[in-house]
Amino acid sequence: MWATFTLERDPPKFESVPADVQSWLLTAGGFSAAAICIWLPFVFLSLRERIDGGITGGRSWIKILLAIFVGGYLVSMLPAATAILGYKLGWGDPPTTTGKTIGDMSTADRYKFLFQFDILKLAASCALVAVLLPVLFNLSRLSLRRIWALSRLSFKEAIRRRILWVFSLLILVFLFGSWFFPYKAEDQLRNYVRTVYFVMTVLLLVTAGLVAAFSLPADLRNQTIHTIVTKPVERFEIILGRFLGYTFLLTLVLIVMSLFCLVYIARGINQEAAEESYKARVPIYGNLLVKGGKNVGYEWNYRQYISGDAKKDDPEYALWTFSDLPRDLANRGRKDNVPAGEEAIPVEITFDIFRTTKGEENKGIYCSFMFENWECPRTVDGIPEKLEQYRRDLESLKQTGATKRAIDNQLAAKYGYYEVQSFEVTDFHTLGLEIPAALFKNLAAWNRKNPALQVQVKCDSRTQYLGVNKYDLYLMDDVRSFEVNFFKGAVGLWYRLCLVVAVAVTCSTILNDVISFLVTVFLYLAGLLLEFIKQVAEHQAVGGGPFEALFRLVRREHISIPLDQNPLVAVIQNTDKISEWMLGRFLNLIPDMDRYDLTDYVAEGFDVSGSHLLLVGLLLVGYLVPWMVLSFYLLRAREIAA
Amino acid sequence: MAQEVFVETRKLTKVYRDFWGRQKKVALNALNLQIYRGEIFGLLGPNGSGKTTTIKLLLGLLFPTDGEALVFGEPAAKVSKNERIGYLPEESYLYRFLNAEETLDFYGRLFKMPADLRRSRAEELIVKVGLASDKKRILKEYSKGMRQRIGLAQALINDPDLVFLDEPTSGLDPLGTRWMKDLIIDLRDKGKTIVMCSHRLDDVQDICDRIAILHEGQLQEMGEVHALLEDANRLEIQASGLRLNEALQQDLEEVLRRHGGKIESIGHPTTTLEKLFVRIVEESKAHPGRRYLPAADRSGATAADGETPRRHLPESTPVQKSKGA
Repeated sequence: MWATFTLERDPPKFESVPADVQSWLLTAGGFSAAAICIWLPFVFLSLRERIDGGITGGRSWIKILLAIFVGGYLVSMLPAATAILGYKLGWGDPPTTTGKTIGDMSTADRYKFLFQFDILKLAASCALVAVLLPVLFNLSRLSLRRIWALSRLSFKEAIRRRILWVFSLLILVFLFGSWFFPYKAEDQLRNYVRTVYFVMTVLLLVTAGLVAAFSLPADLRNQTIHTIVTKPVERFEIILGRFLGYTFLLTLVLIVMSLFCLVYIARGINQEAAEESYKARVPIYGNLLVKGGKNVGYEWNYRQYISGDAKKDDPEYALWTFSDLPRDLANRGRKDNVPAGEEAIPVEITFDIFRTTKGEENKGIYCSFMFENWECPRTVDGIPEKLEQYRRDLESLKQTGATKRAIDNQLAAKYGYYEVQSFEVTDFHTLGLEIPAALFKNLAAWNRKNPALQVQVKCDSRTQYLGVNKYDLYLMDDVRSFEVNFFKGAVGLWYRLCLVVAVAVTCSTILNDVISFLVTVFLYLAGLLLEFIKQVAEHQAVGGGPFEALFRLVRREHISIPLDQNPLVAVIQNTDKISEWMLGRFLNLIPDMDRYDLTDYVAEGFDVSGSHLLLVGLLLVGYLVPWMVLSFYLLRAREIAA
Repeated sequence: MAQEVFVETRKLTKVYRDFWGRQKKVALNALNLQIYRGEIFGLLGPNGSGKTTTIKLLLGLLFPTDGEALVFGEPAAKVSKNERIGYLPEESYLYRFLNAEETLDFYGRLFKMPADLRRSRAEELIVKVGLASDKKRILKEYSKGMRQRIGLAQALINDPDLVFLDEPTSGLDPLGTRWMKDLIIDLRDKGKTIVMCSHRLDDVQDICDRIAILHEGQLQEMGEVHALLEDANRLEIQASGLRLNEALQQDLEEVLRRHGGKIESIGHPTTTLEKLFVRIVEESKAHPGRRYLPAADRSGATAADGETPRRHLPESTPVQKSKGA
């Protein structure tokens, strides 16, 4: 585990919401279309009355709407399906889209592509509406009173069956946890946070999965559900009652556990750990451009490494550009204990060092930082006379006896530039710099042509390499409360809790208890491995698909060496194509668990923003809606007494 | 005036299938029924004849393979009909972690009932089913009879117009059975319609107005109980104030011969075992401590504790004498 904050994926952004919604529409529409294709034959077979009566509630206007949207789906799929079939039969060329944006395509390809894309969207929308229609109609008949009664029942059941006793296992962590945590002083807090979150996650999610998966099958087995469905209760209310009841109960447990854990963490935190992570930084990240970055041989390509040995005519540096800064950033440096003209904005860095020589004992390596605002000619470093003037001014101001901060601010205001030379950087430590607030004093007049701020970092230590990533350097917008952030981190766990309960309840409408639990666990674990499964499905995994991997394993072939082509290998590779296609469809069922895990943010002392929580919440809703719709149909079509 | 039909089935058929859709069993075959408002209707038949399947189809717990099941004129799958329905399953399948009060409160919440009405109704039903002193105990601690009682209470929580009872006397002792039968009759007298199934013929005979007899999913017979049971070729006379003797028997034979009939059997009628049992238990309640004594100790004996010993046999012990047909 790296004792530093690493973000392998960008946090969710509002800008990506429209594209995500479109992708969701196509995926959900695709599943809806598949459901319609399964359902349609039933309509024309002997089960017509039963299925139809159940779904439409016998209302003719819903039947008409349903027919319109199913028809709309079939009609709109026709041209797309014809085109695809035509390409397969060689009647035309498909639009060349691979590696191209729409702007790069030929006009004909662009029209073809857009037409097919739009027609697919239309088909997906029709299919989705057709599937959602009976659900929406049923929603209007739901009663909050009944859902609440059913939720209370689930709540009482869990309490009276003494399920909550399992959470007392947390005491073991409180009592003995510290015996087993090896840590450097600065890592104490992050270790504690990671451990308590891990234990809470395991206890809560296993319990949630068990109670949710076993509840409905137990009701069906014991026939207690007979006395409920013979009351004026919609079947979907039973599902919602279970979901809300267990979620509500476990939410209370989560709140209490979080409180205990917070007290446990905060009770004896050492100074170094507090400085490192007992806060909630609000960072402002820039974009990174690395010139001359190298791979030093790590399998994990998270960072690029710049050398301290770079030649002058071929410099290596990391350049962060900040294009979206708060207009009032300069004011953030104003504090009661800071004299006017000495305001500073904190910057934090966490770099990796790759050494090719031992270097100095107990010392880091040295780096230089150059901060240039949008008014500064690009770059000062490239205009030696300007830089020389800056440095002359710096020397002369030092003679005046003014404080360093005051001098830095004066020069920053004049040149839009600030530099830090020979700054010692230690391996995987969060280090702080302060830059003059005057760099941002005219930010309100920023013209957006140039980046608001550029930060250039160079490695000054010869024979050493500095590893950098986009998230290794940031301006500090604010520092917030760790305690509040700890609860925000718990919201991530709450999202996973909702997901597990919903999936388990849905599975339990059709499967038995143990199988429902296992399916939920399987999906959860698959969600943790989503990136790898994606690689396999997209034929990006080293060593090929599942069958090729098995073949290599049996034959003891190295994964990076291409296989000799022969008929057997051809069969295996073609089988892999089928399995990859199936895996691709299966991908849409897997939750993106990584998105809901906010542990690293809290452990490393980074604020989980409200927008972050909101967007992850939207992602959860997008994932859960199809599951809930599925549960609606599954329980509705189920013969309770069969 | 035509009677209002509460329940109707038209060619109602249910076929159970296996996982592959192959026919496993025809549980019900083209059943046509009409159940009228205010009657007690019994579904009779041996195990596996389709009684419970019929009730489950009417409740929407099963879907028909063919035909229609209508309740209050609407398809059985419609949820809204449940507002006017009560259902007591064969076993009282209730949540065992709840107590009687909580059980009724929970089921009451599933109906549109104001809180105060729900509470008063629950209280009233708890008293009615005789569980007032046990209302705080969780159902797990209840005996089967007590669970059946609370099961009936939950079926009546919404004051339903139509009550489905699946083997209502199953698992009840004779006292409980009597109590249940009285209650069913009382419900009918209050205008409720009862549909019950049972394979206990005496129960059905005692309380049902009409019955349908099913066998292997087929309707074999349907009609009013007394009409179905009436034997028009035989005559029964019961008289009081007489003891059977030779002279009486000869006179009766003479009279009947004149009208073209003959005596098949003559004797003092017996009571039912149920009536005997109920009476003994009630006597026992009235005279605590009284107990059975063997015949040898009975004559004029007084128990050591001063209580009168119970008679060995009741007055109406069968003394039946048969004549050959």
